Amino acid sequence: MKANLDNVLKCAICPNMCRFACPVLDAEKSESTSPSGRMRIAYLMETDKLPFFREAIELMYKCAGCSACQFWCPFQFDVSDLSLGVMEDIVDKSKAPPVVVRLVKDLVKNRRLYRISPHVRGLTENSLRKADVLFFVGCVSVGQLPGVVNSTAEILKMAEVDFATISGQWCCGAPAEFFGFSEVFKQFAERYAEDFEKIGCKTVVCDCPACAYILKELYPLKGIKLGQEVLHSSQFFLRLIKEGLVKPKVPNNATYVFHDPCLLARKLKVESDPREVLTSIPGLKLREPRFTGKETWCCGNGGTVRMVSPKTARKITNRRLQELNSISNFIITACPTCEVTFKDAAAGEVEVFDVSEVLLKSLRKV
Amino acid sequence: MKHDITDPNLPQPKYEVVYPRRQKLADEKKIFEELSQLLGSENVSNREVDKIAYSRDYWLLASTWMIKGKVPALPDFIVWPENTEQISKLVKLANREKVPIIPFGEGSGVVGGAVPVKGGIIIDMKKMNRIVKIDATNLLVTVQPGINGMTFERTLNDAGFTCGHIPQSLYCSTLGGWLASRAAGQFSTKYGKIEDIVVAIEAVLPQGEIIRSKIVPRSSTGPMIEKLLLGSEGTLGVITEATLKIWPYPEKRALRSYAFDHLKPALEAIRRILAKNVYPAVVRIYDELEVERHFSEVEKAKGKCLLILLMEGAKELVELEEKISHRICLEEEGNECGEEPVQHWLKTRFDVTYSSIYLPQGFVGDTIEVAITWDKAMNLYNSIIKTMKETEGVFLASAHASHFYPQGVCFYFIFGGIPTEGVKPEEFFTAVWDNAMRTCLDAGGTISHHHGVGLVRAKWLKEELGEAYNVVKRIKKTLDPSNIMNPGKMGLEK
Repeated sequence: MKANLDNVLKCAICPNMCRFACPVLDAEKSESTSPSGRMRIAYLMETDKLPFFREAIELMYKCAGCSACQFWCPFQFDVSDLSLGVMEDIVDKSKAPPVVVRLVKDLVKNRRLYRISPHVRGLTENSLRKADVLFFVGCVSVGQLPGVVNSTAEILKMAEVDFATISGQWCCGAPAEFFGFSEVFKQFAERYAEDFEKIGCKTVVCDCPACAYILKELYPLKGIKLGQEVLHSSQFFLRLIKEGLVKPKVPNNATYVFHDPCLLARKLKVESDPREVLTSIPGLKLREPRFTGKETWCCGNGGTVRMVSPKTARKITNRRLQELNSISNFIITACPTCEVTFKDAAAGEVEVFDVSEVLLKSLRKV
Repeated sequence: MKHDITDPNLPQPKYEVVYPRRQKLADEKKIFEELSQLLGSENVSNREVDKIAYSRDYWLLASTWMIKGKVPALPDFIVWPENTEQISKLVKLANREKVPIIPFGEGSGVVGGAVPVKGGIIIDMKKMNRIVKIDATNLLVTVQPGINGMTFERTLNDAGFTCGHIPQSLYCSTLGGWLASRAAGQFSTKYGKIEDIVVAIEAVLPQGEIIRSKIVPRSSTGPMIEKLLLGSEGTLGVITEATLKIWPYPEKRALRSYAFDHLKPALEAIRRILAKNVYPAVVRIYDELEVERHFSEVEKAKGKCLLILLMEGAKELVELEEKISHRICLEEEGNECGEEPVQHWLKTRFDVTYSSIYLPQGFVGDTIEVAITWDKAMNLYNSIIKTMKETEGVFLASAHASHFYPQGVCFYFIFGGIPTEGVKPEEFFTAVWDNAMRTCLDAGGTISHHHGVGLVRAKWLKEELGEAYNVVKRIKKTLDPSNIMNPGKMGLEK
């Protein structure tokens, strides 16, 4: 058994002290999707009182992976972490939902989630070139948000950072890990440990908080310790600004609302860096939603919920989008997944930007 | 037993149901279809996982069963209505089909009140969770009952108000639950209990009638019918909306604590403070054992009782309350312990880790809250502590005084232990409870201050209420002749 049964039970008999912060429960309103409710089903399955059956298995995947529960949990449990062991047991029994299995198979075959967008400019040519900084490009940005990749690279170039990218870059392995396929995940982690060594970089800059979290926190948990400093791009941008290597000069008089990505604010505890970058831009007004910082609200596309329940995920997205949109039509975030999710749901009614895109505009006249 | 697991090749569930259904529904499929038509198929479930999820509330015995792979009782359906009219139609349907209905908020009740012991339809109120109106002029908020307590209070705070109802279950309970169980919050010495806070309600009665009380500051127009619903624990209807009092968010908060050699002078200090018409929001007095457990770092309180006070509101008033309280505490030989113990309480007041830590180790325990007038308070405290220890296996018996009135006090007793060999957890649990209830009644107290009756206190209600018990039964029979509303609770069927 991979599940930590003691902790699953502790959660299962808690009265759900985190319930009001769970976006999945908020969307579905069913006790079975509450954090403790899910762990009760998990406990009954893991103790052989319930078979591993479809409805129960899908419940284990109904998690936004946002860690909002951890903030309120008296044990500081993150239910997505507790679910991981249960999902691994599900995978071991070959009972993972077909949609999840398909995705992981595709990931193994293609090594990443999406094809590289033709609009990404020249990043993947520098195969394992020696450099101080590795720009680790996330699957979502390289496949769906070429603007984020291009802006980030452009800022690095303007700051004259000696950086490389990896040719034919693989995914960091996050989906495999989040879906309970820990052996598959390990393959990705092992490959990167080798690549980073060859590049000889001191710092890895990720444009995706999930990649940064995976590289920084989860690879070491699998026994793969990277020797590099791992930063999210917003952290690195702030460093460049503080060191005077880039200076936001071009005024931007718009009012924006900032959406904290869950993994960035909660798992990586990065809240102030993107804000400091943005408020260094002359004229820019930054507003905060009610749910902000560590109390941010999921974009709807975190964790595994979308795989098994797209309708629930969409409800989560709509709630957050409505909150953000009530403050400004211009949303800034620091996660490609959040950005794509909001753009898809808003269908042009709001504009969504990455920190890199807004920063770049202030570095040069458009 | 039939289970809704679609794959016939899967092994059948092995969990035991503590209250198994005695009667099958006449036509389960037909009822399911009618419910789906009425509420929309997305608002009706008979899935196995949902039935398990709604099999219990936070009754600690249910947690003990859970550890052993048992579930208390399974409902037949779970529904999520979205408006009052749907609930009215739903109740009529349940009456016609003679199917029990059990209103459900977030299942934080600790007396088994939401356990579907006779099966039936769980009405989960969480889709009716809207704040309808915050009325700053009249200091009122109108709100639907499915709203989570924390969400409710924070929304009010953001708008510059507080409701002042802050139970330990704030994070995991709903307004509907507070009203149905006649709840009390930690700040209630100042702001009042839920029955003091509520101004008007809308409810669906057991035969589908919808009643709405007027939103007025007070009225002298006959019996307060709507207040019958408060504390009825889902047996007399479904509350579908409420208007509550709110207050401007306090501008100042003052924290004080005092150690007393014994419980008696600490109680006397509070009695005298309240007699001055001074109402600190939070007043709590911990006995020696609880001080050892919760405030072991407070040097001055070692081996003593500890009083904590939190006063809040307008600055001038808080300063005056602080001054009067301080003087009286010193006169009763309280030793000042500063703000830190109150800060500690504020940080840990929602801590419910004990059950999760100790129950899996075989520990069986519970909390018992009772109330009594000042003159009998010490006798009640001593008697219940003594009687809780009488059950073999009990090694923890302590209390704190948690809610206060000019007329008396609520004691919140905690017991725990490990049943001796051959004694089932439920036997151990019931033995301690029975002793405590008997002792409380003999001492002249009320058997529940704010947790309610549910299953745990059902057998004691008759003695508690005396002749009024028969009146309650007659009311129940008149309003709910088919006994569909949360049957099997509060001892109303004897």
